[in-house]
Amino acid sequence: MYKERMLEILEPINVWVFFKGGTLQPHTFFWKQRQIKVEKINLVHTTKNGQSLTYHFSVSSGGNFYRLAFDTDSLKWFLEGVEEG
Amino acid sequence: MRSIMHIDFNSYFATVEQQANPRLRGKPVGVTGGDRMKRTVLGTASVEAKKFGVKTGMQIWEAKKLCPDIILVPGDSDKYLECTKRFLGILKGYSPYLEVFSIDEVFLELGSSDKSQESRTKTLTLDSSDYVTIAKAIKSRIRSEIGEWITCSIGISYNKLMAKLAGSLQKPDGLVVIANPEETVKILDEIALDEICGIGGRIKVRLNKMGIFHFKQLRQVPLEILTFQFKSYGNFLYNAARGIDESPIIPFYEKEEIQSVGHRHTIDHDTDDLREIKQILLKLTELIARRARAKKLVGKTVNCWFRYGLHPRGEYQVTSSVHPGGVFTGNGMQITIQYTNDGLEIFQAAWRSFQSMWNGVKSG
Repeated sequence: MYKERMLEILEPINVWVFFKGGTLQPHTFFWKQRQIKVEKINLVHTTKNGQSLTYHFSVSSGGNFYRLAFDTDSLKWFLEGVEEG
Repeated sequence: MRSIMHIDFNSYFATVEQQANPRLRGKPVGVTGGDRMKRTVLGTASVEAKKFGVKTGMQIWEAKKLCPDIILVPGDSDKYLECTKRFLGILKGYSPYLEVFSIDEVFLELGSSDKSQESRTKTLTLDSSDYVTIAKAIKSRIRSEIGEWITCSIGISYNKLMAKLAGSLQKPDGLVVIANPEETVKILDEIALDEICGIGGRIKVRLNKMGIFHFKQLRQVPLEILTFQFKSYGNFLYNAARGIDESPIIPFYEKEEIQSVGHRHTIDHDTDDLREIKQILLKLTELIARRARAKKLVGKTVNCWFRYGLHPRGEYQVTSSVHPGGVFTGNGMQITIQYTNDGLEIFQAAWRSFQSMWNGVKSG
């Protein structure tokens, strides 16, 4: 079952970002005292919770999968999901 | 002659999930209804899962039986809607005559910029090679702007029916042109009756009972006999057998107004707990009211429907060969109230209907 493969979390994280073509993209994030460089952004989508808009970045690094979220209301980043190993 | 393009994304929800998470690529994936997995059906099976015989709409236990290694992924409608919005954005650049057939399927009419249907049908001058070039450009833009794993099958023809058929002939990532009625007849004579959009399993059975197994045989049946057997649907069968379809492209800005707003929910266990049922109904009616208010609609007819697990004979049926959900028996009731988009008013009407049906089921 996918849910067993995927670790679903909602943990605040620090992220280095850059702007490409006027859009914000995560470059590197920090989790469990590790510095993880985003190798590829596979898909970006948005969700709305009331008026608050969140960007979700499905990214890959070193063969692992991560889902990052950027809350445009609080300007905070979260790690939402991890699939490693 | 018109030029219609039908664009159908392959195993859409599963492909989007594979796009988001490359670790799912090349593996059998089934997209389910989120946390309600036990009772739901597969929203989509990936191309890899389909090789095991897994089909969209199949019950999960059936899918697992055919493909024990299938990876079940909870559906994420926000993700799919976002991708749909993006590909509609791409397609709008090619023609304003864009009909959204479903979340992963559209028709695009290419040609005149004049808005009238009549002029649209007259002013096309591009030949089919131009359309193939456009189709390849669309595929390329989808790959680069949405994702490299996302593919679509494109069918091009002179009407919607044939464009859809063309799109279904080569999957995944196909591109097929049915250029003229002569080609249509050749193709129709090679396919099964239910491969055309609009002819389902039941109609096929009825046709078979009439001794009709192929389009060639269907073309030999006079229109009078088809309309006698199938009423107005006979006209569709008569035309479909010849590849005729006059239906226009209905762009999203000309779509008919919404006639109804509804919500349904499948829970993961049997229940006869009225408190629990009441809570679910309240949530559903509030969702309906919210959508109605967002669309500035009011309604006066409340239709409440529920299904329960026991077959009328009091036995559980174990096959789902009829259709997904076919193991259940349903019950529904309609009630008319004052025009409203208030959640509580809708709930009160729905709850009255439910109680009435529930008491009937319990006493019967």
